[in-house]
Amino acid sequence: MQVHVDPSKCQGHALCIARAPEGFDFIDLEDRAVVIEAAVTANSANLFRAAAIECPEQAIIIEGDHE
Amino acid sequence: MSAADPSRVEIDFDHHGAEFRDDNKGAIRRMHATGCPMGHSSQYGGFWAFYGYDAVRDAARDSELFSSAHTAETPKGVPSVPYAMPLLPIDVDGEMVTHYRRIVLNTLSPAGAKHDIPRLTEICTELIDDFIESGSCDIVDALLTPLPARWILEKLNWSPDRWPEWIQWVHGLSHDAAHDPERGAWAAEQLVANVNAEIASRRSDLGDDVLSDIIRATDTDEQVRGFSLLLLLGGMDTTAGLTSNVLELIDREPAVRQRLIEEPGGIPKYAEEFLRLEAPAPSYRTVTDDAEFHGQQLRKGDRVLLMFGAAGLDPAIFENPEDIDLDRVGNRHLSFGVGPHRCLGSHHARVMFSVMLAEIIRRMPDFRISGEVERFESAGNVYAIRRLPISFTPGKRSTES
Repeated sequence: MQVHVDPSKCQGHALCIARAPEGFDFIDLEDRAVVIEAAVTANSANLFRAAAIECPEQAIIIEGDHE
Repeated sequence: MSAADPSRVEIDFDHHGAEFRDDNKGAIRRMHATGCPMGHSSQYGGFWAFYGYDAVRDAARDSELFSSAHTAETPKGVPSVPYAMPLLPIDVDGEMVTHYRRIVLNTLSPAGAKHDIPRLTEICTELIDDFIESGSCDIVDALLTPLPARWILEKLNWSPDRWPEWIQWVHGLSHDAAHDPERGAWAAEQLVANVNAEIASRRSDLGDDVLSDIIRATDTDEQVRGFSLLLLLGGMDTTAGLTSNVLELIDREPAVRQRLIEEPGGIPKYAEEFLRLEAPAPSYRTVTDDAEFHGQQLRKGDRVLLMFGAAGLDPAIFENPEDIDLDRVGNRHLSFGVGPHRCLGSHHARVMFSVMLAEIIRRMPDFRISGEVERFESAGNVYAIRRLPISFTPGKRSTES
């Protein structure tokens, strides 16, 4: 599974950080979120799915998620 | 002042007035009903209120057209604030914003907020222990105000026991200045004198605290003071205000209370809906050039009130905007602002709010408002409750004292 935040869509609401602090980091000076790569594991799929649903801009892209 | 544009939408609006304080949702509803994302008010020598979602967002992002600078020549605010020095970094533009934000980024990061949860919970427990056996209290004075105040004083490594004094001055500046300039000026004087004293003693004894970080990264006392004042104002007042508004909401929404009791683990997620509905703070800008913006003609020097809370109630963006929906998906509220000046303490605000609400629901699930709710006279800078008497079934202390 691969997860990333599309920088052209992310508007810095930081809801993913509120929802899944283990999975995302906030680049304050650019007002946008990024995925913590090390947190992307088979066990964290639910976490990222929840964050992706929550994202108002649908900026969280999940690839290779076969569930 | 230029002649009024004939197509300008005029609104009868005073954000510091009783009408907005007593029914801010109604006032915002009438603004959105104009069909225009902004309106011009003749109060305070004239200013623009931006309330439409897109206009608020675009203005907050465009710091070239909408300056945040506060100087003696172009004082910011509506009305202009009674202190001469800029708060940092909220009252500056451009590269300086980045420079100042960088100083506190680690402390105020999402990881920093998470790190502080145990300590915040400890403070919260201690404060609730002080009144839980009595079955009643003014929850603003007993918990909502002291928790954020003690937290920011600990971060600065100033005596946390002095929070009542600091709060008095902070409230004087943020709540009282608009209708009582004398008290505002007195509060500003007290803040400056006391912050100066803290800076003077820390300069010779730098350590591992936010004040020391600021001193190391800046050149002048004025900069340190401007930054410290911002941390006090932002840290002490807004989170307490948000939480007070939310407790009033829960008191009149039994279904929301029930949901929180049954699913306390959802509180960090539900916080977003509470933030959308009860955003406590707007922001100010000054227009830097003549320009057309979202269909209205702006003039250089025009003053702008960015109503982040009103943007969260825009019916073009949010379905049934005044209804609370804890399951609202994709909640793109602007309650922390957006752009270069986005709230520096947002991650901590979320955490502090969630800790306080979770502990109130856990230890006082049947709390009810038991007396007159007194709001701060002006809701223009911070929409918040000054006094919120509650009663509840008395509980036991968590710790032996």
